[in-house]
This record gives sequence, structure tokens and C-alpha cells, in this order.
Amino acid sequence: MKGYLGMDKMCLNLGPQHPSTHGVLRLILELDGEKVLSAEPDVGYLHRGLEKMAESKNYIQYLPMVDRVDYLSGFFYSYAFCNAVEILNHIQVPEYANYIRVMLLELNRIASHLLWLGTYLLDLGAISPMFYTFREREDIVTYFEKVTGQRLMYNYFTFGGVRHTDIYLNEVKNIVEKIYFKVDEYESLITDNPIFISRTKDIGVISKKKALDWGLTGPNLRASGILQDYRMNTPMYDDIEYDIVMSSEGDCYSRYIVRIYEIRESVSIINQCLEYLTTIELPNIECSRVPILNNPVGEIYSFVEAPRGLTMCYLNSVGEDTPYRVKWRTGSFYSTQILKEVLKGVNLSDVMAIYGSLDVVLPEVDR
Amino acid sequence: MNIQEMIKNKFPNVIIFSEKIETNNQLVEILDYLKHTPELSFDILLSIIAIDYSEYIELIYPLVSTYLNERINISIKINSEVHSVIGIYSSAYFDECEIYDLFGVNFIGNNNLKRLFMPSTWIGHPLRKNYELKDERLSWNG
Amino acid sequence: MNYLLCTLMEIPWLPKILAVIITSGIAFCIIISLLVLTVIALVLIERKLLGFFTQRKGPNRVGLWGVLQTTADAIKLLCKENIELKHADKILFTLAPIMAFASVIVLWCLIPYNSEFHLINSSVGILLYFFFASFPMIFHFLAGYSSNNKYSILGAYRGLALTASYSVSIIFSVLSIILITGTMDLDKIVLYQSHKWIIFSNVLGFIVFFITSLAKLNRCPFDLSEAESEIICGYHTEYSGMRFAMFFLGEYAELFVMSMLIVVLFFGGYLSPFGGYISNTFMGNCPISSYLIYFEQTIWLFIKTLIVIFSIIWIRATLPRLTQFSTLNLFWKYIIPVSMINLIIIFLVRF
Repeated sequence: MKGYLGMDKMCLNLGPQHPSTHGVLRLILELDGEKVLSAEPDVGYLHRGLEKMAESKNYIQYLPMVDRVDYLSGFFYSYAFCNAVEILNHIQVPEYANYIRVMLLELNRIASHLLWLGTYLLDLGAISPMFYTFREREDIVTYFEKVTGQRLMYNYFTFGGVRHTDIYLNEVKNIVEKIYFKVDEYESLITDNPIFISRTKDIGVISKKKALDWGLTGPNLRASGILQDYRMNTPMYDDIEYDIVMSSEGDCYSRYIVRIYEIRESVSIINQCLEYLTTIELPNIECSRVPILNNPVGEIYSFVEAPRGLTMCYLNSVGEDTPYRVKWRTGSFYSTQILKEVLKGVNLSDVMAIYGSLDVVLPEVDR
Repeated sequence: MNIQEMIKNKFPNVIIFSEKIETNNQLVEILDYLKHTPELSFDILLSIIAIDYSEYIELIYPLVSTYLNERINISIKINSEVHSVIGIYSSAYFDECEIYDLFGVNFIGNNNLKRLFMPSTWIGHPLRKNYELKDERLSWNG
Repeated sequence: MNYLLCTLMEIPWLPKILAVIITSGIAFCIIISLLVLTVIALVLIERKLLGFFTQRKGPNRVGLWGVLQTTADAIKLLCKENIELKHADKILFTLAPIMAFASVIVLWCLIPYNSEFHLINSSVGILLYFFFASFPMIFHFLAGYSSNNKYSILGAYRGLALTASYSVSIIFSVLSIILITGTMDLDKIVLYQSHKWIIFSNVLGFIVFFITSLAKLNRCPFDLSEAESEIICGYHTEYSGMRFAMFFLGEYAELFVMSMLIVVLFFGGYLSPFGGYISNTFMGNCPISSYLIYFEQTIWLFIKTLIVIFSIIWIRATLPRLTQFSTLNLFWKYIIPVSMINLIIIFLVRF
């Protein structure tokens, strides 16, 4: 604080420890009063070397580690890796396993969006919605614990399908029914709230061109007006009807709207899966069955539409039983990068509103 | 005329594989052509993938076109230097920093290369195949 | 209190000044004990209420229904390490929490608790109240400034900007009450309301006063000077242990006394809403009932205050936080003109 009064720039570290960065992100802000002149994200505090570890482990040894790339959407990363290995080894996945996978993926998407909603509103200052969304998320996570044994890092998908079929379909029915009504409750509390609107409308506008240029994907891109949802190209979703939620403004409010409506779409997808799964008889498979992996030489690109963006798993195999290279492309990596551009010229209060609306989770960024 | 033929017509020196299109030294031109041609408009650079084969490093640039809903991979084999593409796709900045950090590739034209994941005083490039962990600051390193 | 003073004055060997000091001392001790007990209860009430609004139970481990929670927190804070900052301005750093709490104690002495007990019974009560109520703001700023921490100074500056905007409208709405009652003495304002409460003739003034008092107390939705999600803790980021407890308790004490002021100005203070007093009707005209009336008046004051506090906590549980520029916008463009219009209307109706 030594220096002249009226010095125009102040360097503020929105340091690795901060209540609202949801992880260890360091944002180096240059402030002029309350206005941000420049923002530089500094990542790497959560780097665990997951890509290097893949080169010394079997495929089946690496599979539990894959959930940990983003612990809030573990099923998506598990699916991406399993899909890559299945394409490499030409393993056919049975139909029921596809439907179980879709149902669990969408439940995970709902859980991830609910967590995002609660913490975003906590950042803005409202303390009640967090408890309401976590109440619903608790139901989902308890169901996951019943099925897979874990609340966050599931290790349930395997090469060729799922580990077992003891999924309690009645519980899923109750959960999604409840959530469908609760989303209306959240909307009544938040969507027309004038304070919320004044804090998020026309704040952090990302134009179409900028969003594409900086590599945004997922709900962030759809909120800027680009129709891009990888579920259209995923064969698992071919028989399922769903709408893709888009908004055209590109501000924080539209990112919120896109995610809330995505929760409803996920509910409808789960209902369709339930319709199919309740009519067929699920086979009783043993837990420890793993197909024999030949691992021919090849390069595989496996994509999945995760809650935070498009996730790509690149798998390079040279015929050994450990991968030669595994590369993860995650959505939050590019959401963190665009902060440099979006945060110029905004006030300090809007920094948290923008950062929260981009839904950045640090383990995805650092891997 | 599909995309691969269009590229082969414009840049005769590329080699077309089933999954990717390999170029020798025309990376920036190809990416520029792919982005700015209105019929193609590959506007998202998904990532930059680097693979360390011991004699060379291969960089793969997967691109997505929202206009055609198509995906294409451009690859290039390099030794240790390549031209940066941040003039065309701004999202390449973090990718290039990451590859510089983990592989040691120098990107010509990118002046702000910095280490992203490793500490800024780290020596060595971890994801290379010949990387030996010699840093004395680690407690188990003898 | 007057009775005590008169009896003490009649003792021949006691100098009059000592009588005054003894009376004031006893009254002050009563007020301090009331303050401490009320603040302890208020912290617990807030946590329990916030818990009920968010479908939780609130603290319920320490003591029956969590009654001893605040005491446990206070003991914990007493035992914490007092972090001494190297580059902070030591005098201001130590002085700020003490003075912020002390100025709130003075505010507690200005409120009429019942028709007898009014410690500082001055004819310019409202003026003195707002004079002393501006102290906490100054000491919050000094706390933020002396901490030598960028987050604290940001919180302190935000608090100053907020002060500049709410001061005008709170004074205008209080002026409208002075116009109606014709006096600045808080006791006489309460007695004026024995026929009809002021809120029924000054609704707009009440709304303006309520909103600006939320801003004055740095409560949601105006708690931008200590916004936890952006600037960690604002002006009291660097405080730990008992000094933080001073700020914390001072904030709750100020909340209570501000709600009491709202009740005194708009809802009839300690007067019962039924006209007569319950102890009168039940106990008849025996000598105890005259003392019970004083007790009952204080209880009426507290009940009405608790209703006002309930609505303040309800607002905290519901609304997100406004940014600094929205707050300035709100006050300068909307609330100050409304308070001016209210003042003009009251003036025209009165004369």
C-alpha cells in the first residue's frame, strides 16, 4: 500500500484460495478502482499428470483414474474412454447397456447442473437456492451410491457395457418426477428476480464469432447462438428424442437459461430410457467380466457432450497393453482461456458473475 | 467434391490418410484456407494433440465445422519448432503453452509462451518419452 | 429510573452528582446486560431462521435447541490467536473494532424502553441517534484502511460509496416523521402514537426507511462491503479472534437497535396495540400492576422488534446481492426522489 495516493493501477490476486473460484484458480487482475483492466488466469495448481500416468498403466488399470479428470461428471469421462477402447478393439456394446449408459449420463448431467446452479447463486449472494439444489442432488448422488458404490467417482462403465445391471429403476422414476417439479420451483425463485436479472443480463456478452474463435463448446456456445451439440452425432442417442436448448444473447443470463432448460431435457431423455428399460429383461451379468483386449495399432477420437463442453479422448495405441498416448480435451480449459478476453473492462462484482456462469471446474483444466 | 479432394486440389503436397491429412510445412496456410473459405468454414479448433514418437513429434489439429457439421484432422511432423496458429484461432494459445510446457516445442510467432502446469522454474519436459525425473526438489528423488 | 433518581437525591449526605452517576450507572448496566443477552440470542435466532428457510435445522447440538451456540462461539473466538499484522497501522487497527462496538452501545441508550426507562432522554433524540449511528461506518472504513490488504480496502471504499447514497434518503424519511409529530424527542414520538401508529399515515416513508436501514446495516441485499464471494470479507478480512467478534457482535447489536428505532418511529414503540395493557386488565388496580406495566411495555417493544427482524432475515434468505453500481443507481435515481416526494406530500397534508 505504499506509494502515491491516486496511483491508477492495483494488482489483485484472486488467489488460489478464494471462496468463489471453485477450485484452485489464480486470476491476476489489474484493477483501476473497481474496473478490471486486464485478467490473466494462472492454472496448474491441480495438475496430476493423468496423461503421463496413462502411458504406464493397463487399460483396465487406467479406467478408474479416468473418472477423476472431472469428478463432477465422472460418467462422461468414463464413457469417453470406454468408447475409445471399444472402437479400437471392435467391441460391440449390447443395446441395454447403451440405454443404461444414456440414463446415467443424463442423471449425471442433472447433478452437475444442479451443483452449478447452487454455487452460482451463492456467488451472487443468495444463500437459499444452494440448499434447495443440493437437496435434489443428494437424491441423485445417493442413488449413484446404491448402484455403483460411490458418490462421485463411479468406475461403473467398463469395456463392453456396464459392470452389473442392479439399477433400481423405481428410484430413478421417483427422482426425475421430483426434479421436474423442483426445477419450476427454482425458476420461480430466480428467473424473474430483478436483482438476479440486473446482475446477469447483458453482463459478459460473448458474441458468436468470439465464442467460436476461442473454442467454447457446450452450454456456453449454445448460449451464444450456435447450434452445436455432440449428442446429435453420438450413436447412443439416435433413438431418443430431445430438443437442443439454445439462446441468442450470449450473456450470463442466457447461459443460466440454457442450463436450466437442459435439466428439463435431461429429464425427458431419462423418461424415454426408463420406458425402454422397464419393458425388457435385464440380463444378470457378472461383475468381473472384462473382454480380452487385442489393442491393434490405431488412433481413436472419442467424443462426448459433457456438462461443461465437448470432451474428446484421443487414444493412440501401438499394439501394447498400455496406451501410447491419451489426450483429454475438456470444455473448461477453453472457458478459462476466454476469461482473458471477456473480463476486460468489467467491474469486480461482475467478475464473479461472469466466471460463475462459464462453469469452470479446475480438475478439468489441469488434468 | 468432398473436403479432402478440395484440400488436395489446393495444396497438392499433402498426404491423405483415412483419419487425417498430413502436411509438411504448409500448416498455417491450410488452416487459414479451412477457416476462411465460406463453403468450408472450419471455425472451431478443438485442441492441439502432440504425440512424441522418439524421432519426431507429431502435432494433430482437429477442426470442427459448425456449418457442415464435419470434423477433420490436420497433422504435421516436426522436430522441435513449428509456426504458431494463434493468429488464426485464438483458442490455440493455451494449447501451445501446454505443449511447450510438456513437450518442449517452440511455437514461432507466439511471444507469450509460458509454462502452464509445471512451475515456471521447472527443468525438463514431462510428457516426452525420454523424460527422467531428476528434479532435486522432489523428496523421493534420492 | 426517575423514581430512583428522586429517592437518591433526597438522601442529604449524597452529593447530587453522585446520585446522577449511580442512577445512570445502574441503568447503563441494565442496558449492557440487555444488549449482551439480546445479541447472543439474535445470532442464534438468525442462524436458526436461516436454517428453517433453507430446510435445515440450524444449530442444535450445543445446549437444548442450540441455545448455547453463541456462547460457545464467543469462547472459541476468545481462545483464538490474535494475528498481529506487520505493516498495518497498529493504533487504528486495534481501535477500530472497539470503537465500532462502543458507538453501538450508545445507540442502545437512546431508545425509550418503557415510559419510565429512557437513559438519554434528550429533546433531540433522533438527531443524536443518527450522529452516533454514523460512527460505525467511519470505523469500518478505518478498519479496512488500516489492514494493509487490498481486499479490505476494496470493502472499505465500497462501504463509503454506499454511505454517501443512503444518508440522504434516511434523513429525508426521518424528517417526514418529525414533520408529522413536530418533535425530535423519541419519547414524545412514542406518546404521539397512542391514538394511531405513524405507519398508517406515512407508508411511503416507512418503505424508504426500511430499505435504507438495510443499506445502513450492510445487510443483504446491500452487503457489498463485506461480500464474501468477491472480496472475501471486506473490511474485516484481517481480523481474527475477539476483534472479529467485536465487529460481528457490533453488527448484530446495530441490527437490533435499528429495528427498535423502526418500531419506535413507525409502530408505536412500547405501546400496546390493543390500547390497554394486559397486566392492567388481569391484575386490576393493585400496586404491582403499575410495575408490571413497565415490564409489559418492554415486552411489547421486543415483540414488535422481533417481527421486524424476522422480515429482515427473511429478505436475507431470499435475495441475491446488488452490485455497487446498481445500489448507487437505485438510491440516487429512485429512492431519494421518492423520499423527497413523500416529504412534500406530508408537508402539504400537514399544513
